[in-house]
Amino acid sequence: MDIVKGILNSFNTGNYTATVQISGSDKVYLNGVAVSRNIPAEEMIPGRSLVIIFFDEFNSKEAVITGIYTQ
Amino acid sequence: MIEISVDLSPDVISLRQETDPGRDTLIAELRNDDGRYNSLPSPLGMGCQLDVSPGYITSQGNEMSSGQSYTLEAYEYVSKGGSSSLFLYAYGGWSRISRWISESQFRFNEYSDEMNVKQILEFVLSRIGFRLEVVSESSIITGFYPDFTIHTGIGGDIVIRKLLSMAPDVIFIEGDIAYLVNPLASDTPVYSYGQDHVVTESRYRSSSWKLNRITVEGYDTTAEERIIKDSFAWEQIYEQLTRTTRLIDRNISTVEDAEERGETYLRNAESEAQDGMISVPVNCGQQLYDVIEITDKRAGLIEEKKRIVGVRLIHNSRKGEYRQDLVLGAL
Repeated sequence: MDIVKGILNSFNTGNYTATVQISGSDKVYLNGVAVSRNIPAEEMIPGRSLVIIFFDEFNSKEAVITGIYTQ
Repeated sequence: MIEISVDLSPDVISLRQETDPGRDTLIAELRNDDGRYNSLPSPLGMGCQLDVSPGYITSQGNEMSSGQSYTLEAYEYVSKGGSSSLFLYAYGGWSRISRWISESQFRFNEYSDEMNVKQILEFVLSRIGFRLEVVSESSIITGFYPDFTIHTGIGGDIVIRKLLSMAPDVIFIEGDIAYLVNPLASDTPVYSYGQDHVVTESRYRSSSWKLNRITVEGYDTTAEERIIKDSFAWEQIYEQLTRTTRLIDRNISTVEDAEERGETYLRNAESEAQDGMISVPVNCGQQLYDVIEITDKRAGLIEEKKRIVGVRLIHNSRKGEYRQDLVLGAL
């Protein structure tokens, strides 16, 4: 299990998934990353920093955003 | 482009070449008693390619075969007991793979089956500078299309090992080519030792399997439910009680895939439980993952099939040594 930083690009309120940019990657995004349901939708503002857990670092379907924060 | 080369063979006092899955190194010692290597002759220098072509005497006379290529990464002058040597330290293909770091993020098969495991492997290897050639391949490596993400900053060896963990296939590297092999218990031997080609030293070890049961968990995206499949090695369980592990891979979407993955892990456990080593006069043609036949009556072996999982070439002119140690695994 890996914990990585990311930046929110966009958020889909319908299926509670997000498009994110993983810290260290340049101009490339990961689509369809699950967002923890305990994060209020109104907090999912593009540009904010994210905490992302990868249960399998090679499978983005095994990732979940567990936190969103500003610095 | 003009190739410039220098032949170091006459000055090699000792040499040790080690080839294992995931590791290949070369250490060569050159005589320097008269200071002939006090300055390195062109083109010998850091980053240059070192080709090792082991030779042997056959009925045809002195023969040599083209062998492995390495990249020089360090050299060292050593003086002791009135002698002076230059040691060359070089690395092979696996070191190149482990030193490669992904500079971009890549995702495969997000929406549809674009690339199977072999094609992803080929993609990654080509970025590192290797061509993939197939000696043999499993249906899993060509038929499995995982949702696979390579993050920025991840090492090449980690990516390659992860991909290979999804199938029974293995790779070995020679020069700039990575060869894909699907090791099967039915593979026929390519060479025999113990009769015409003498075995000078040997050891054969049998251990209980480190793993005799595996639970593989996948996810059926159509039914939206987990798939759980157990695989067992019953004989081992009777002998050693259960030694279980659990594997979770969301890319596994059918019971058949889960079973295949479990069987692959058990097969690896079986192979690792049979290890050993034989020392033989050098056979230049021996490659990693070759199947060989060994007759060694001292250990009760008659035409026993083994797979080569490591090769060491050892030359030391001071001791009159020129031999190959072949590390053995089960078929």
